[in-house]
Parts: sequence; C-alpha cells; structure tokens
Amino acid sequence: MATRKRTFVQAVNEALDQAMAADPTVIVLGEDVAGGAGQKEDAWGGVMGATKGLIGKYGAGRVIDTPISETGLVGMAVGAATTGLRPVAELMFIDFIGVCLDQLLNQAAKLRYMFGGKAKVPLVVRTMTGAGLRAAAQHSQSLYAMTTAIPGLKTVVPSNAYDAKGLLLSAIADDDPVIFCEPKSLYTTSGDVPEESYTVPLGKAAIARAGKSVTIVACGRMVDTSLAAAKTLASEGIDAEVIDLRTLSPLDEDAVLESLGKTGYLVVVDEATPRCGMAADISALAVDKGFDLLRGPIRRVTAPHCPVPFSPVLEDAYIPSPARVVEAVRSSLEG
Amino acid sequence: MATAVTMPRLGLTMVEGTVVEWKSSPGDIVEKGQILLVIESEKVEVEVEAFCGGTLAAIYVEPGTTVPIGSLLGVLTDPGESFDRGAFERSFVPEVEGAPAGAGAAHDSLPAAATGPVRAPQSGVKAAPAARALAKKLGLDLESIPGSGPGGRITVEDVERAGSSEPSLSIDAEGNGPPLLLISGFGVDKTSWRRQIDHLRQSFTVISYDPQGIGASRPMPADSLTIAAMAEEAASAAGDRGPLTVVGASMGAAIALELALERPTAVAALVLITPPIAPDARLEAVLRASLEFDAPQAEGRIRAMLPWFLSRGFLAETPKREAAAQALRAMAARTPLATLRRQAHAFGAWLGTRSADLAQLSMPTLVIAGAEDVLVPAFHAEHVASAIPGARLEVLEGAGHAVTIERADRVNELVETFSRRR
Repeated sequence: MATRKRTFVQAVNEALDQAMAADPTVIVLGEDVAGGAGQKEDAWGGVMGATKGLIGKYGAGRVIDTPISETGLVGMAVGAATTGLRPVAELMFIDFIGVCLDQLLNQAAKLRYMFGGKAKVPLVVRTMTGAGLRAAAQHSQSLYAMTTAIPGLKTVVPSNAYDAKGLLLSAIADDDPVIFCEPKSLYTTSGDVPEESYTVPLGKAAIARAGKSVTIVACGRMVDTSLAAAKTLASEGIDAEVIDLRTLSPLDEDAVLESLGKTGYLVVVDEATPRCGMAADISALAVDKGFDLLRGPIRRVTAPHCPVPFSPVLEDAYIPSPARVVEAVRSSLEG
Repeated sequence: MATAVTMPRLGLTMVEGTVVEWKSSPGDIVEKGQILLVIESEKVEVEVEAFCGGTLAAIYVEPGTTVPIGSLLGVLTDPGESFDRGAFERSFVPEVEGAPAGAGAAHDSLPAAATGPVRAPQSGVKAAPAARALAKKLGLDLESIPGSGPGGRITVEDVERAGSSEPSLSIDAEGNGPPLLLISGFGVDKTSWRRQIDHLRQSFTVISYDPQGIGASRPMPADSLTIAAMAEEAASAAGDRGPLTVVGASMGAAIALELALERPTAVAALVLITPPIAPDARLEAVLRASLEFDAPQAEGRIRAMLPWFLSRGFLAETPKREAAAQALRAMAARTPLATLRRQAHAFGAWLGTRSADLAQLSMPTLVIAGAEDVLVPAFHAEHVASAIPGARLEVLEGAGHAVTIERADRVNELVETFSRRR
C-alpha cells in the first residue's frame, strides 16, 4: 500500500480506525470523542478531530461520549480493560490527570501485580501535552515524567506522524496500561505515513540524526527543536547525534549509552520542568551506567521550574529553543 | 552463600530481644523451617525458624544476652562452604541502624569506636570521566598529565597525547629574522612571553615552547629532572635554526646559562632576566611552600605567590595585579603538581653549581634585574654580570621579579637594542 503525507492528528485517527477495524474489543471513550450525543456522520470527533469519523463507522457502542468527568471515564476504561476490552480513553489534556490519578496510579498500574498476573489492563489513555498553543498554565503542561515514575504504566511520547500511528497501534496491542502523550503543537505537522497498519515497538528509541560530536537526547516536540539545533551546529563543524526516545517507559537505555559511547558528550532536551524530570533521569543514567564515557559535563535544556505562562512572549521564552540547545552543546563541548 | 541470622522484630514496639536457647550447635546441618533458636522479648518466648537450609556455621550471641533487633546472632552457610567467622562479622551490615554485630551488641559492652582508614577525597586533579578511564587503561598517572581543558581539566585528548609517542613539545615559532629562543621559568609556560613575542616578532623568529609536563606538551617522564635536561629540551625546541639569541627568565635564565655553557656554539647571545645563581634559602623556601597546596591553581597559592613576583607599586594597582593573578591562575591550571615538584627539585639542585663556570662564557650577554625583586634579589644578577666577561647589567628601578610583565616595554626595548648593537 501507499505511503502519503498525513498530519500527526490524522495519523492518530488512522491508527484508531485501523485498530477498531481489526479488533472488535477496541473501544474509544472520552469527552466529545463522538461529537456530542446523537451526532453521526458530521460528528466533530474530539476537540482536535482525533476521533473524527469513528462514530459513523463503529457506532455509539464502541465510540462512547462520556460526561465531563475524567474520574468517571478513566475509571470506566480501567474496569473495561480488566474485563477484556481494549479501551482507548481520551484524557483531553494531561493537565486533567489529577482527578483520575488514583484510577491510573493505584488501579491501572497495580492490578496485574496485585492479582499475581491473573488480571491485565490493556488500556491506552491518549492525552494532549505541551505548551505553545496559548492554552495557559492548566492546559499546557508536559507531565509525562510523572507517569514515567509510576511502575506499571508505560509512557509514550511520539515526535512525528509516522511514529504516532505505529506507536499508538503498539500501545493498543499492549497488555499493559499505556499513557500516550500527544504533543498538541505537533498535531498539524505532517510526515510520510504508510496507509497500512504497522507498529513501532515500545521501548525502542530512534536515531533521528546520526552524528559523532555530541549526543542530544529528546522526545516529542523537542526532537524537532534538537534537529534544528543540529543543523546550526553542523555549520560550525559540530556533528550532533539526535536520539528520539519515543517511549520514556520502557526506556531504551542502550540507545542513549551507545550514542554516548560514540560521542562522549550529552545534552538532554526536555519541554517539561527540570526537577525530577526526563532530563534529570537521562543525566542520571549517563552518570550511573556511562560515567567512563563522559568527556565533558552533561547539559540539560528544559523549561524553567514554573507554570507555563499565558503571555505569548513569556510562553515562547519558556519553551526550549534551538538556540538554547546550540548554546548547551557548545557549553558541554567547551566544558 | 553465608546468610545472617539476626534478632527479628516481633512487633512494632520491639527494640531488643534476648537469646534464650540455641536449638542447634555450630557445625549442625539444619533444614529450612527447623527451629534454630528461642528468643524472648517483652516476656514472650518465640521460636525462630531457619529461613534457609544449611550449616549453622557460627553463633555470635550466647544465651542470656540481650541485643537490639537486627543484631547478628548466627550464620548459616551452604554445606561445604568455607567460612571466616571474623571476616563475616566485620563485613556484616545491620539492616537496623545501630545494631552491631555479634556479642558486641550486648548492652553491657560499649559501642566500638569507628576504626579503619577514612577514605580521603580525591586529589585536586580535574579530569573528564572518560579521560580518567583512559588513563587507567593506559596505566598513566593522571597527576603527571597536564590538562588543556577548561580550568585545567584533563581531556581525553590530553591522555591520548600522554600515551602517544608523538613529538612531545608544543613549540611556537612566530615572526621573521634571526632565531630568538624564549625559555620560561618555574611552572611557567609559553603564554607568559606574550608581550615579548608580540614585539620581538618584528625583528626575530621568536621561538617559545611549553616545557615537558606543562600546557599542551607531553607529561613529564617519570625519571628525575635536571636543569641540564631542561637545557637540552630548550635546544631541541629551537631545532637547527642556527646560532640563537637565548632569552631566559628566572629558572629559565638558569636553563639558558646551562645551555650556553654546554653548547657555546649554539648560543650567539644571551639575555638573562632575573637570573638566580647561588643557593638561596629564601628562594628555596618559597618554592617548597608553593608546592604545599592541593592544586597549583588553588586560590591561596596564587595569592601567596603574587607578592614574591610583583613589586609593591605593581601590587598596589588593582587591575594590573588582578590581570597578573588571572594569568598566573590560568598557567597554574595547565601545570600539574608533579611537574612543579620535579622542576623545584631540579632547580634547587642546580643553584650553586655553576657560579665558578661563568667566566668561560664569551658570547655577548645582557643581564636584567628588578631592583625590588625579593624572590631572586638583584645581587644574583650582579654576581652573574660581573662573572661573565663583557656582560652588561640593567637593574630596573622599582621592578619586582616579574620584570617581563611589570616592565614589558622596557625589557623588549633592552633586548632589541642589545641585539642591534651586536
């Protein structure tokens, strides 16, 4: 089948469609995922159109509009998963995770363990993350480090349309609960996406750009930021390797360490806040398991430890830029 | 595997227990689940089972003794496993804080004072982790490798250079004209000559180099160092450029003298700046004191050295003094302590050995001294100038030891006029 240009959100939609077509146990539920009660063909399909068209194809029994209660809809999805369905719940913004955290932290993440493997929770929670859309402090956070810290949950952060489709199909097929973080600023970016169903494995990082001078580790939107920085650096004779983690849990430690072994320098770029975050985690990995590989200091490029500002000027300053990545790389190389 | 049997915690409030009776003796084979001993806590006696099978290899707490929870009571080993009672007790790490091993846990004995060596923090050597690992692999001593990275950090490249058989000196040759060789002093590299090089390059091919063990040059070899060896090194830095005007400052002047005495035909003219010649208790004391720091760039060392190098007038001018401090700091960061120690030793051993030979020299010689030099006072220069036939002496009023910095223009002018006159 053919490969064509698709936007990130179209790739997500296609993955849902193909998973539902292939497996009758796959259901979709969330706020406005159908498009409002009674709507069919012209349904909205989620606030960003990620579930557009599904109600018409699969009916209200498998595409369920829920009340505005994350507590209820995520809890319902966890229960549905334990009974054998493969629910894909939409938590509109990851910022709303607070009201359904118990369902994820103490139920979804623990049930397989508490029942000695006799229960499983094949659940996917799709959720929008990240800043850049002037959505203010309560609709802009990148909280994937929080779910990464919970054993029993898998956390996926795709960086492009191709991976979004392949990783979502892997997540739906996975028997464990997966938090699927969709950087909303990437929704309208497009890339080559094969028409057929395919998977990108969880726990396998990608080398977004091969290089030998310095390793830049990123995920989600920051992969593009890092690639832009790498382009500038290349003009200075610095050949950066960009590692796209794709999934934060499981983490492809080998990919990071192998690259570090090649370059000796590490810069970690994260759109999230710096404390106990992904960048700190990868830095710790390098020191714990790759200390002897380090030729210079590790540098982190993250958002500051503060809420995402609503002022457009401040929000733009908040998000790590290619210029800051370039500066961090120079600083690591110069020591 | 040896498995510790410890005083169990039977309830949340239990803090200690008494061994009532051992049901097995050392050497007995016990099975998993077998009653191993009886303990008593809060008036209740409880049987303690062996939680793995094996040989009861040792009993550390005898019946009737009360010990805190977590204390080592006995040990089970695999059948046939060799067991060192004392070693196990020493290596035992209690899971409960403060629970000592064995009978030492008993109430009536005092806690043993912490003994054994306390691990000292690493030396002042700064090295990238990868450089450290490479040095270990190559069997190189990090302390002897000059660091060229920021703040003197030893880089992978520095270690690679140290381990390679490439030419060992970092040499610069700038400008056009007859060859002029600059020899730097104790713990000083070629950057100290910047103001001379910038001026003298107009009329000379100015050759400067980092001595072995400093800056970008190879590390110091392990064998002992002498001023004669440093003179050979200076000659090799100049290569075969023909007769040289040799300019040496401080210990560099000693090296220049040695070179002139050993290879008189290679030296066309000699400029000796603040040359030391006789044994000097103060000079040697300052050298020794300058080694008593964790790192050459230690701020205390820099601050303590400055008054020996600079005159009162120069020290009083803050921007100049701080610029000198900064230059000294940067140079010190490129110089490992091991290099300083060997240089100091070679320098001390040389002083006094050549006083009587100076009359042999016949090349034109200019001697420059600082009237306020307290490190190598002008009487050294006066002695040198009077002993070398035809030598000219210039004592710069108000100048300290670092005349090339304090009076850079005057020194440049003197060197140039001296060469032109010849």
